[in-house]
Amino acid sequence: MTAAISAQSLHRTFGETVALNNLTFSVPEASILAVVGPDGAGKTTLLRILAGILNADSGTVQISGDDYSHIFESKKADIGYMPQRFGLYEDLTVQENIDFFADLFSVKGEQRRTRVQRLLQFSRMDPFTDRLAGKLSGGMKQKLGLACALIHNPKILLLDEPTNGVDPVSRREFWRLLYDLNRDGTTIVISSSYMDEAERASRFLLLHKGNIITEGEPAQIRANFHQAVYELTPEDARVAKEKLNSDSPFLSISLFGKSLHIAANREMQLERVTEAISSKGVSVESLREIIPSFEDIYIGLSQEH
Amino acid sequence: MNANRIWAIARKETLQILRDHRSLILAFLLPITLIFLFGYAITLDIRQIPAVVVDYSNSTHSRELIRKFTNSGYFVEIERTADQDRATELVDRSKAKVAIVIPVDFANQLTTGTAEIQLLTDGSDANTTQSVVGYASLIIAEYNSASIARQSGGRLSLSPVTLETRFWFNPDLDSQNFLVPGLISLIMTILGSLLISLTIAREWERGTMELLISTPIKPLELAVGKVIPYYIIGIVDLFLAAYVGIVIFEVPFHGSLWLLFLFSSLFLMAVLANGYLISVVAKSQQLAFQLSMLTSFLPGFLLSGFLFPISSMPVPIQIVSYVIPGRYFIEVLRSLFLKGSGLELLYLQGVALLFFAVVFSLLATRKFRKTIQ
Repeated sequence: MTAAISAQSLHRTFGETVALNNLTFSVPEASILAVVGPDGAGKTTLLRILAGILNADSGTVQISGDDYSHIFESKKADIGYMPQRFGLYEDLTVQENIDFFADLFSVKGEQRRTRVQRLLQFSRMDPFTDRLAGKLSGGMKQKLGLACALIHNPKILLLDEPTNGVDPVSRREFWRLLYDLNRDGTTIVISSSYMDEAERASRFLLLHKGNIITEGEPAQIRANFHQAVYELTPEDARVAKEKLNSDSPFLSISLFGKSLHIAANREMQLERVTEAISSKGVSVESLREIIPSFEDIYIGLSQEH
Repeated sequence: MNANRIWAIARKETLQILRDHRSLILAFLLPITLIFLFGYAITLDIRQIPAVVVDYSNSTHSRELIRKFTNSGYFVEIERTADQDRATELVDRSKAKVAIVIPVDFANQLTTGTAEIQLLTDGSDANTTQSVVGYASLIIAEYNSASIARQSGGRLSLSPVTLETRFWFNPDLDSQNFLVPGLISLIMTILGSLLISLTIAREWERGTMELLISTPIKPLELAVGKVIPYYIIGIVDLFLAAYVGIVIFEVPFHGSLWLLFLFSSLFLMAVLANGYLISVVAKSQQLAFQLSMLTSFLPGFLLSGFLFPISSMPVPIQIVSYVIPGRYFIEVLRSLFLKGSGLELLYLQGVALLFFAVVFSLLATRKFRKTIQ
């Protein structure tokens, strides 16, 4: 399988801060890659470099096998980019924004008519074509952003936290649109700070302070994760966490609502875990082993890193 | 260069201008306001100067002299008093710009030799004072020659040689004829520098630039597309201002409309490119606004010869004025309106304006980066 995008030791610093630390990875054609990490992990920097609007200090990006830095501008027509901040004109209507990008990418004639029609239907924006973009709801703005990023039928779609601040229903709908596109062969790179979004993608890449902590298919990453995660729901989770934290034999203890997720080495059997917990004076009544979520995996891997 | 992309930018920019009341007001209301302001309210001609008269002499001679002052149209007698302190007070309070004091022995002195009168003027208003002294000297000179002629029975004249002045191109020295052509340059400077200097900075501020630079648009296409709507506004304003000037303020226009269009286009390119350059460098609307005030509006107003003649500025400032495009354009405008000069006399100014247009355009497109810094 050829790679739609392949990055070789991308490095970028801002002053003293290392935003991206020698990243090497590739995105197979027609896959959906989720770049996941908390704020400040380097997601936006990475997507901007891939979109060709930010220069890396060193390293190369290849788009469909061609070195990006040399034929930079001509490759831009293959890419649809949606920045984190709403990049459309709020004082133009939905239709005017779409027309603007259609003109910019020289989409003309019959092709343009059918494509605009299809995008409006597919994003369910057709009743709102005369509305000013600034007057749209958050979810609708994102769908308009997507429609404008798709007007030139790009092979690669780069989306920077498109579902941030969007309600769950709109978010699910947005993902439905992405699946439709992906089925037609579009390669999608989407960044997110929500771990659960990683599970919707076909591959994911975990970023932590500019480093890749793991990369691959979700199932594979889960299989390779060698920590055991236990859930405990004590009466007061905060107090219990304090008690367990002192001189702890565990890899990590994190708060999930009213419960604690306790990660430990696989070698440490359930009996020893139970023993260690009760020795701190915390009830083990609710203790059970769970399948690690991607959040657990992120916490576990970023601590190892 | 791709015409589709230029068209896309120009159309988008036009829609945005049409929806932004601030831009519309600046583009069309401001030029009209300026023309009426300079045409009606602001006049450089000083007439009807309020004068207080202190006539101690109170003779036929003194009354005749006073009549000469008031009949000239330059002075209006607002009060006559026998108390010089009262006159001084009126000047101090700026009620009167000048006090004309005629001594008690004025009539006597006049018959024996030389008579003196005193003018007290407010030196804090230097412009008016200069006019007062100038007008008063003329009136007195006229009074002298008239009285000598009368006393000698018409045989003698104090001024055997008289100066007959003709002012070419503006025979009445009408300040509107002088101001309105220069005003066109000022209006275009304001438009070109203020309106366009905000456009790129605004795109960076609102985050729309990030998406724009991810498309295949070229810097030159972006610049041309952005400039087109403002160029059209500038040309509309040019003809609007010229029309108001010629029809309402009766400023003569002796030149060719084609030349007016050609030179205005050159000048507009220079100011628009300058505004665009500011916008590319500034990245915030506030900074862009301040920079454009400093680098185009102020020099365009003060150093271009719009109000103050360049020839009477100190030499270093005169040298600075050579890099102000408005200087050349104002020369061209005055020549076209008042003298009707042709291209054979104006080509040097044309070359200068073209030079500025090209240099600023090159700098602006070179400076523009299609990446986030």
